Amino acid sequence: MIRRIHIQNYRTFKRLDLKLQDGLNIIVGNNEAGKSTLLEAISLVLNGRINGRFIVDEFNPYWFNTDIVKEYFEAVDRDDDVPLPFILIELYFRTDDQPQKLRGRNNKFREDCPGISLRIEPDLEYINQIKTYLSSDHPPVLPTEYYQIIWRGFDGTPLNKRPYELRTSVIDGHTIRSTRGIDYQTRQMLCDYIDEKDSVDLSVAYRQSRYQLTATMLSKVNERIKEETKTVSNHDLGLQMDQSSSANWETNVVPHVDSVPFAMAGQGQQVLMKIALALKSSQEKSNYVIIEEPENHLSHTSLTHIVSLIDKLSSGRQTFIATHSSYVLNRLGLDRLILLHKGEKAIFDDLSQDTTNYFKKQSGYDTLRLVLARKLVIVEGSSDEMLFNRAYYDIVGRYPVEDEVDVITQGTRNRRALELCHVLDRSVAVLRDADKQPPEHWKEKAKDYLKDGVREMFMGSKEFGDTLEPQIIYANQDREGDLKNIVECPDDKDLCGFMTSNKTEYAWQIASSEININYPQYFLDAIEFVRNL
Amino acid sequence: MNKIILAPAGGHKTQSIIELCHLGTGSKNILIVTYTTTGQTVIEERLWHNACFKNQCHVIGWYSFLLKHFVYPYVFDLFPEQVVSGLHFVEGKGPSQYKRGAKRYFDNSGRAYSNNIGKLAYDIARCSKGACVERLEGIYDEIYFDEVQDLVGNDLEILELLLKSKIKIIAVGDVRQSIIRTSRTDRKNKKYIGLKKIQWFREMESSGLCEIEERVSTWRCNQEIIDFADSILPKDLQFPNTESLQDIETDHDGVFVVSWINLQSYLDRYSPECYRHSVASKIAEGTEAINFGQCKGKTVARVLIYPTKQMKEFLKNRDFRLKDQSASSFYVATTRAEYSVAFVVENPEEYQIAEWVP
Repeated sequence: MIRRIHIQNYRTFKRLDLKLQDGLNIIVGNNEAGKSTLLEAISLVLNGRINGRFIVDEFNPYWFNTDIVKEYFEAVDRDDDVPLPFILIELYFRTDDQPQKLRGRNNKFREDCPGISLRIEPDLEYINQIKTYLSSDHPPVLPTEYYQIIWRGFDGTPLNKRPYELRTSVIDGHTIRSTRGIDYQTRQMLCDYIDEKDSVDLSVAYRQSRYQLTATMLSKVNERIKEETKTVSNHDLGLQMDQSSSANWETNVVPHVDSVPFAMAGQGQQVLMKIALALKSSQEKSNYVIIEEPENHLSHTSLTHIVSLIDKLSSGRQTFIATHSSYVLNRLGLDRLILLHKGEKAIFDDLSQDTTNYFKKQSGYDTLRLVLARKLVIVEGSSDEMLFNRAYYDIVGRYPVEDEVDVITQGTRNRRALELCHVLDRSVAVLRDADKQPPEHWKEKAKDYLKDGVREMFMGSKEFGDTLEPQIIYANQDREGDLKNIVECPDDKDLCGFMTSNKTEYAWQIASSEININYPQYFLDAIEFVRNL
Repeated sequence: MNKIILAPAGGHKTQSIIELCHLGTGSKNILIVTYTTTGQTVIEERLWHNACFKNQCHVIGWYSFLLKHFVYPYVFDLFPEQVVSGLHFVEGKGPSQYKRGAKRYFDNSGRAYSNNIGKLAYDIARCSKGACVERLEGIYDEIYFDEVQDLVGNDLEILELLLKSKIKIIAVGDVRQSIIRTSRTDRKNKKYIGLKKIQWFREMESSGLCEIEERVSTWRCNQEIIDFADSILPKDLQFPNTESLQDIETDHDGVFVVSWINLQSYLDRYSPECYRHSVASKIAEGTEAINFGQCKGKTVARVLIYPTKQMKEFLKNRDFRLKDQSASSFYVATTRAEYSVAFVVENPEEYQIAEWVP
């Protein structure tokens, strides 16, 4: 079980140190937050391969975090003596986990546990070449050809292939369209179904059949070629079936789904197949499952099916899922959530227990919105939400959503949402009712989570009313008639009382009215704040 | 129960290890540790030959064992900053004897000196507070040590640690053949050096850590040769007499002396393998000979020995006490032979040993 992953300077991640859970880990974040990169890093270190190819063949300067590279070359330009950047990815297992042969303290934190580390660093054998490169007129690109890749266990011994105890099933949402059939991981999963004896028998039969073809059908052809080329060459020219190792049966087998070649099957079906394969391979054979955005290409019915499969998969196997889907998140459990944002983490670990419990009870959808929104406005009720949207439109000329501002109703528990935003270091405007207290009172209560210009709280002063309705009436005190008309308040009723007892209706009337009203000052302040984020 | 199997030359020691590898239901992880690289190759070949796929068997040399399972994983417990890059093989004293700290154990490029690696590994094991042993327990069910008599100094401490662990330890060896050792500079356990190693094994047995199985049969040497070889060893160490199970008769069996005059005809007739003390030893012109130190582990039909002065002294007078080291070398050289051993001497008549004449 991987209980910790440490990443330095790899792609989006300048430095990431994550605790991982047994069973399911659900990774959520915006595009570019590093979800795929995190999954990629795990599979990279477990397999020593990326996209089915060896690390040496794939490694290139763009593996480095761009900020780190930029900082490095800026330092070089200043003639600072700084070391070349390196990449480090380490997976820490539980101390008593197998394989114990990978156990030791050869890791960044000198922890005693089994684990694997991948370190990509300048090879000092090439120190002169590196110096020459750096002293010449070079582009701001690292000389990765002089780097070495050190892939080893925490015991300090280099690995040259994946330790056989660490099987990984990778299920990505990418569809295979190539005629070569299937990707490396799927092939691995399939090959797990073929035992050693079958494999040997197949291998013999396959070679035999190739040899037969050469000896029979091709021999006639070869006779002819020989005849026709003998005037040109002293050597016998001819054709034979490929007998090299690249002609193994494994690379020439293509899976079928209901007699349709895998590559021709629908996208959703491919994902389903891969998950079913991973599920079927025994637990000893696949202890780690990596699933990337299972919701892609799937209808809701298939997704329901897949989520229940994933649920089964994750019992006894450590499973990592990256997802955008609130359905997946909600079904599989919020306490399994790892939030990524711009290459940094925020886990529920960092939240207070109360807040964690609160979000566990919330629908995954709202939490996801909190997590994924670029700019956030948190309001108490749906009437606040409708009015804020309209106010924003009146002032800016666009609805908030068009400016990637997400307005979320969180009831009276906005401090929970604020805490989550604090942990995520999100920008947010929180609008709340005065509730008989001066603004300072509420700001003081939430002060741990607020930050000027980033996370601010907005509310009306209590003299103008405890709730939204008297605040609106106050803002429109010189045109109470208009307001009464818009909200369709009967003449004989008290406006404030009417609005308060018909919250949703009056808000809807205002939001859809052809006439603009005035908004409380704290609305305007909040809009101004959000626009400057 | 841990076991130390002591058996004479030709006592099927290596064979016992191979047989042990085949025992059980076949789900065991076994590590076989040998001292010499020759030993390593022999065992690996025999494992292949016997197609031992039932259990997971790995063969490793002694230094690699210490390096891979003690030094690499836990060096930081002793030297937090040390980078380890491999082994620096040292013959004799080595360059680091008077250095302190990490410099005593590692050269500048981080390679561990072989003569101090036993102490290094043992200190690391102690500093790791049991993690080293726990880790090994997590990897291996059983560890077999071949040529256990070659372990000295701190190596014995490591062996004791392992005897106390959950891992089943089986060590085979022959104290009589103590002619090489893992370190020449390790001062620890000095009183158990060479032939006196037997005392250490007996102490382990009496503290309940293992049982000693002393085997007294040889499948290699005939009775005459093994009787002679047994007589080389000091009586006070009480090695048991060996019984030969080899009863093939050839036209030339037993122990002989050969004069320098007849040497060439002897060589022509029997083509024995020739052993000598060192390159400085005088041998028949145009022929080749192997140093005593290099003949360990071999089995040949016939042996011819160019004895040292001490050995000749012993050949003349069987009550002459050879130094332990010489006695071991002599024992090893003699016990390579299946059918005959001959000593080259100036005056055969001075010896009470049958002289070979053409």
